[in-house]
Amino acid sequence: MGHGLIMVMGKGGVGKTTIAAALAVGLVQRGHSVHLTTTDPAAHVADTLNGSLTNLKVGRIDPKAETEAYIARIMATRGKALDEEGQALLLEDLQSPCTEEVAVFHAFSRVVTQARSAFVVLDTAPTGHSLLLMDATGAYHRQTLQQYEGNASAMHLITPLMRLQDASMTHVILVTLPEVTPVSQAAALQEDLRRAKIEPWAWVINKSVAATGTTDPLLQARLAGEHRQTTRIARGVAQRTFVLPWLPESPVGVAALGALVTPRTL
Amino acid sequence: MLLLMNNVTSTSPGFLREPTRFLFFTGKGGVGKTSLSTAAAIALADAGKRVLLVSTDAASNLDEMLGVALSNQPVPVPGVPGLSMLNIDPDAAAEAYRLRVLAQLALDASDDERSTVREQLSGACTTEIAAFDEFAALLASEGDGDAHAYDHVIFDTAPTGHTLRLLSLPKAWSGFLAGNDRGASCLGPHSGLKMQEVRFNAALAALSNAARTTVILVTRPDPRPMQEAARTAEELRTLGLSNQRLVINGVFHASRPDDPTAAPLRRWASRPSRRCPMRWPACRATRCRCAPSTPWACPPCARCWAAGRCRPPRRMPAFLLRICRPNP
Repeated sequence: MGHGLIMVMGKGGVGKTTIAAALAVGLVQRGHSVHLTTTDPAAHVADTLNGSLTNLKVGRIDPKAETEAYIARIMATRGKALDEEGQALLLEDLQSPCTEEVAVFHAFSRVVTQARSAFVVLDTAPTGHSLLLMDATGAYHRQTLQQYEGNASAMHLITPLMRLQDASMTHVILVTLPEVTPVSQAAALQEDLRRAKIEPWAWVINKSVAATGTTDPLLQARLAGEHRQTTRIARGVAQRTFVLPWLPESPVGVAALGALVTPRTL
Repeated sequence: MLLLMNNVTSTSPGFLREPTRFLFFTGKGGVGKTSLSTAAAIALADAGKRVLLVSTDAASNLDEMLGVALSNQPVPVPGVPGLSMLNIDPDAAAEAYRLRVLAQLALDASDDERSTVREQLSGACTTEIAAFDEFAALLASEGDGDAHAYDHVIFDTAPTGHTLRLLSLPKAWSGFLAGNDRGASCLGPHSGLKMQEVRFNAALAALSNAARTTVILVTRPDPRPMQEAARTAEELRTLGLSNQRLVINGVFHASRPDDPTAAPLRRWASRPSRRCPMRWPACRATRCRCAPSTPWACPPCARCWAAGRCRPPRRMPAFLLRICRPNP
């Protein structure tokens, strides 16, 4: 295909940043041009990858900064007309976790247009809920049109939601851990995406102890639980399933990340 | 996970030896809130207390484990005299909330408007508020409803700082934000809350009374859940919920030191770091009772990494519970 959007989704801590970086590296090693946009606050991944591979561009989005700027914009526009108590309510309402998703996705959206000519890999994404909200209320439309005011091509804008719904343009990868509650949370994320008519392309089960081949008896006792969750995913909820082993150190750098996306036999 | 807490003994955590009336367990998904809150409830019931366990975890098989049909009314748990359980389904609570809000929209509201309001109220924050609305009654008053029949009420969840801050604002009860072109909204254009402001204030008073409420933050010996626990601790402390405990679940002992997976897992769990992410005063290490050759440790806190002498905890804001395997 040569170009497209890859979104790596999942709850906090499952490994989205690492997996997105690994996918980006793998695609470049297979001859493609890639933009990786990451929200990695420690910038480990961004710093080690930047400049190390031609055809890989790495951009960072700071979720905290984007959220603060977004809240400031809303307070300055919608908040202007409210009294002090109303402003306090609006401000607290904006402290909800949904706000960060919307703010970060606005920031991502500027990069997403590049998916027409290269691969764009994003390591986080809004929920189906936020996408539906942005689309239904027209918030995205209005904001984007304001930015492009006067530019005739704005009228041909495809909303992010339409882009994500189109499987020929976007692959959504859902990452989880082989444990009961994380799998339930990922399944809920998938149902939420399906409400927005987005079908995840694959699930990645990360930090699998089974995939390490350990012989420690206590860890082996965990394997039965992992196996149940892996079966639950592969048989029930996912169209395609990939498994990544638990690693002692988070892989950083081209070699380590490239190894993640190389098929291995245990 | 094995817990040596079938009975409350002198080595049990402080939050079980001198339990407050309300115990809340909070933490990221999958850290062990349901397991620990259930174990705590059983331990207290075995110690002769009348306990109500409030479960919100749809993913668990608590009903199978305890042999109880899930119900939103208290049901006695067979085999554990003194223990009853009630279940709150957060998704059902959220849906009921949405319906109450939609019922208050003007009759001439268009389908588009209704579906926009519905979507606004379909996020995680609304689910949190709706779930809290369901159990606030258990906190609000002594003689009200079911709560007075129990010595302790234990929750496998806790209200978020955001929920408590939002409902603390007077405007949250008296007037709402019209217009919906800014995206997310947690409460909606009209309140769908069952509780009134008086009940909320009584619930918040109970939560921020250290003599009545303990918040037990549950984490794993991993950086992300630890950072989240630290954030939650600070948020709740700012709101007055200052009686807090920390449980680090799943500290690992390798029995095969040369296993390439087990050895690094153990090293990670036991390494000291430069600063305790919970930012609490230095904790003191004591011996792990079930594996005397291994010291207790506050894994991320370098000053707790005591390889030798025992010292009893002194004014510790947190009690560290290590999950041990009994010696063979």
